[in-house]
Amino acid sequence: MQLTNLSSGHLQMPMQSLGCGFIKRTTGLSFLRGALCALSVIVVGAIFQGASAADAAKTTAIQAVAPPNDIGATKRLRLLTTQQYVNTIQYFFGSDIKIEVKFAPLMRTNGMLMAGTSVAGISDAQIETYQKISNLVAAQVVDADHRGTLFPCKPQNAKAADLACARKFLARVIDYMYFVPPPTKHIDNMAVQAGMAADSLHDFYGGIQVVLESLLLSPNVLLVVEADEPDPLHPGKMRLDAYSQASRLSLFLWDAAPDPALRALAKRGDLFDPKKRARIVDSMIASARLESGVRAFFDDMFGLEGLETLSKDAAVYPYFISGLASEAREQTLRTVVDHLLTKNRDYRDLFTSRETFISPGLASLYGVQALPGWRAFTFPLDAHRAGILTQASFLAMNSHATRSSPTLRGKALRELIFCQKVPPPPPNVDFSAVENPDPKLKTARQRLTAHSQNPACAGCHRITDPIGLALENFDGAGRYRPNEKGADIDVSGIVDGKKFSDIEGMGEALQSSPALPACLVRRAYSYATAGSVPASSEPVVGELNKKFATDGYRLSPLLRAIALHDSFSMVVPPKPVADEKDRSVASAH
Amino acid sequence: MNALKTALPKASLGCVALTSLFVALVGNSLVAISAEPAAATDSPPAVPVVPPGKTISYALTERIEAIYQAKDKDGKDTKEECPLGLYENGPREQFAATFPQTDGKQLKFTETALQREADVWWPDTQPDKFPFREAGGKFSYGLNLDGKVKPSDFTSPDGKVKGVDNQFYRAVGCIPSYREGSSQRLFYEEYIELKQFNRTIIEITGVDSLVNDDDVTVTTYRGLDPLAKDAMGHFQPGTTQRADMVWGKAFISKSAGKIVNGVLITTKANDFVWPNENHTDAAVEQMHDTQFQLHLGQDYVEGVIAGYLDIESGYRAMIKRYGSHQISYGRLAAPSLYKVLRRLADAYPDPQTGHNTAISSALAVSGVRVYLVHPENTAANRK
Repeated sequence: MQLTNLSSGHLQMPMQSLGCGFIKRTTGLSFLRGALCALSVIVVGAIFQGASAADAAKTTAIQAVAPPNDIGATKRLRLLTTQQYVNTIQYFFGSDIKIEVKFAPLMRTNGMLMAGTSVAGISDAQIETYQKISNLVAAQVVDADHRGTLFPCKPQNAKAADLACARKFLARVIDYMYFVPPPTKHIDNMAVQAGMAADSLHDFYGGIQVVLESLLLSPNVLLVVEADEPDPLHPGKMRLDAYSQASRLSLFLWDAAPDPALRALAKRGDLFDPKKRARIVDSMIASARLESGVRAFFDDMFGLEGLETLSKDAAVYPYFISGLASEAREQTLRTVVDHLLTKNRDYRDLFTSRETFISPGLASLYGVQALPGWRAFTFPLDAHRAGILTQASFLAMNSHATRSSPTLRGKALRELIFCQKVPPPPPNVDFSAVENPDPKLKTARQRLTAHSQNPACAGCHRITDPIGLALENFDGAGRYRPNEKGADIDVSGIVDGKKFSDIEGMGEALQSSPALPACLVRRAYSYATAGSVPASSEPVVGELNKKFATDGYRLSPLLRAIALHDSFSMVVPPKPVADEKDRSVASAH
Repeated sequence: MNALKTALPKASLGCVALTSLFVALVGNSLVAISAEPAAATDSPPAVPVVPPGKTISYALTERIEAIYQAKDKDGKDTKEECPLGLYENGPREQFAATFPQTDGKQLKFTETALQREADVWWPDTQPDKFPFREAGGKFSYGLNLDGKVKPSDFTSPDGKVKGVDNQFYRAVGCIPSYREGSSQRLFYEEYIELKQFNRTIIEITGVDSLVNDDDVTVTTYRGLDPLAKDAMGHFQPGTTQRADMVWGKAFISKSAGKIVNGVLITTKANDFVWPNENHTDAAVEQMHDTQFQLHLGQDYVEGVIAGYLDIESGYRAMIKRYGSHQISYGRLAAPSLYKVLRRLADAYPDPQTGHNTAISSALAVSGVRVYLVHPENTAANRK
């Protein structure tokens, strides 16, 4: 099933009414069955709602009052990402709750995975994953090591039900984990179910575990259902309701569900007051949790999830050892956080800076020394590394298993860093010049020159190769090489009309390109609103670009500007998906 | 493959193509070493001829007794060096012979097993009632430690070098435990790699050239970090080791040397202490007048370290090192070996008794290039 930009209302709890019911018996198995059924049904219910006549009428009404050039984003039905789920659990229950889980991969949509969270589907296998991790988390929460600190009360008898204590605990969990507070009756009902399970199991904590497991795989936890309402500050227009705004802010800045404090402020209406909203956003940006949000955003923007499945031919790159790909990912994210948050530096300098962090495994790849653990590190001048594009993450990820690829690197740079679109190769392309090259052609530049003799290939390679060839001093695993098969490597190139002759020069050329900061702004806006940038929001992006420049290309002011912009919380009616795709591709060029 | 490496049960370097024996001059003495010109076959030039900071360090990945075994043209072990055959009176055989149980008398534990334990841990130099089989023959690996050519000395396997001092080889060369393919050697090598206690780093400083330099300093340290292997299972060059300046001071030893045609030759013999842990027990071995003959590659090192092994510390390390099953299968009867070691000892006489306390020996070593980090202070080292 697919949830495609659903225009959704509040989720009901239709389990009983639709025949799944809550617990018929008090065994854990039947309870789980009920929870899984609930998840499936609610997703179906959401889709049903999205297609209902009532909703269609509502959408029509919105279109009638909203001007066509309105700013804002459509309201979303979003699926929580793996990291958002983990963060939410660990922020509440503690970081010692072990969660090793990987949800189904998201579809990168117009450059961002986050945009794919609102174009996601849930398969049976995924529900099984949710159930499994919920079970593991619930078991840890109630175990002897955690119950003492995580429960606000002690049951009168640990071998029997205690309705009051169960309700107190579950109310706290629900208050934190649910994106939208449920009716009081729902909490009461869950407490009763916990009591029934406890009586059956002769274990108060066992009863809680059963209910907690179902709670953690509830759609109220896994899905973010944005709701809208008329905006009194902009008559005739719609805005996200308070809880939806809190959710969007928290997912954007913290990569987690909003905490009870933020939800309480939302409930009080503070997010609708511009001054109070600014204070809230400022405090969220000042929070240590911002680091999680920034890591998630750049992980998405730079496509670092590709490192999860990266493999190299061990015979060709024996030094690309197990675990190095994840260390490379961590290096880039640490570098980003340090540069943009800790040191509050110009985003563009990220592409020329030698300052980074290093682990022993990466040090071996880079040919430098490193002590155990992660440590701050500055590449020496003779290391020929400057900027994140010379880090192993980008270099190794955008290479083949047995060789480097100027084309893949150039394409990645164009698409990920410049927000440009490189067309796929024509179906009948002849790759023999690069895959089975003439032995006399020792360098990638020579091979690609031969390959590009084919006019069908030349067009795209003119876009990718001048940048990618500048990185040819790094092999397919990211290790520096002064030559290739004994032949000198020519790393000269041109970016946006600016010529360079070495890797440092390329960094400077990138740094001065207007496309560099503009792409970050576009991606950040898309990430914040969990969707592609609609045409109506292009003026907003332009406005944010100017502000980003005014603020010295610092990240925090940009995040703040996005979070406080009217378009962040204003709702426009959805447009057909095809339109968005077409527009996005067009704007990418 | 190099002759020494084929004599070893595990040729794990995999990255240095060994092709020949290497002969070099040390002062006026000819010595035979087992390393070969790795520089010509080592990995591409990742390190310039002059190493950064004029320093290059290697972590030893192999360190084991250098045992010569004669082979025929097909590489088959001919055992020519053991004309009487391999030694057979291992612990089980000696126990059975000592306590034959033929008269039906019930012996107590203290009279049998504990008596054997006492013999192992408090050995003596009384004549052995079990005949021993020493390695004979003409050839052995090792170095000419004293610069002389004596009747008891060996010749290098290629016949070019005379006066090789390696009486330890004479003592153990026919004991299966010490020979190619024995489980004991496999364990020994494995624990050199796996046990942190054994991490030996050789640092060469003042290197103006990895090919020829008449004055370098060689210092050994104990490293604090594990050895890394690459995706093919080979030891990975270029990892970082921290020098253990807190608990590893006993293993620091400095010597002078020179590099001749890519071979490091120590010019000043010095005493070294080798960490030696196997299974769970840690021990140390002292080696007097130690000399290095190491072929320096850009990423790997290989060669021989020879000296006079202090018999007491070497014997103690040996009996702590192996389990009963290993020495039993390997026919390593410790009390008998002790008597032979003392009988063949050729250096460092006890001032009071006049009996030699050390025996010439040689270790085959190989290693991988590392960055050696010296802690700025001991507090940092403890982290």
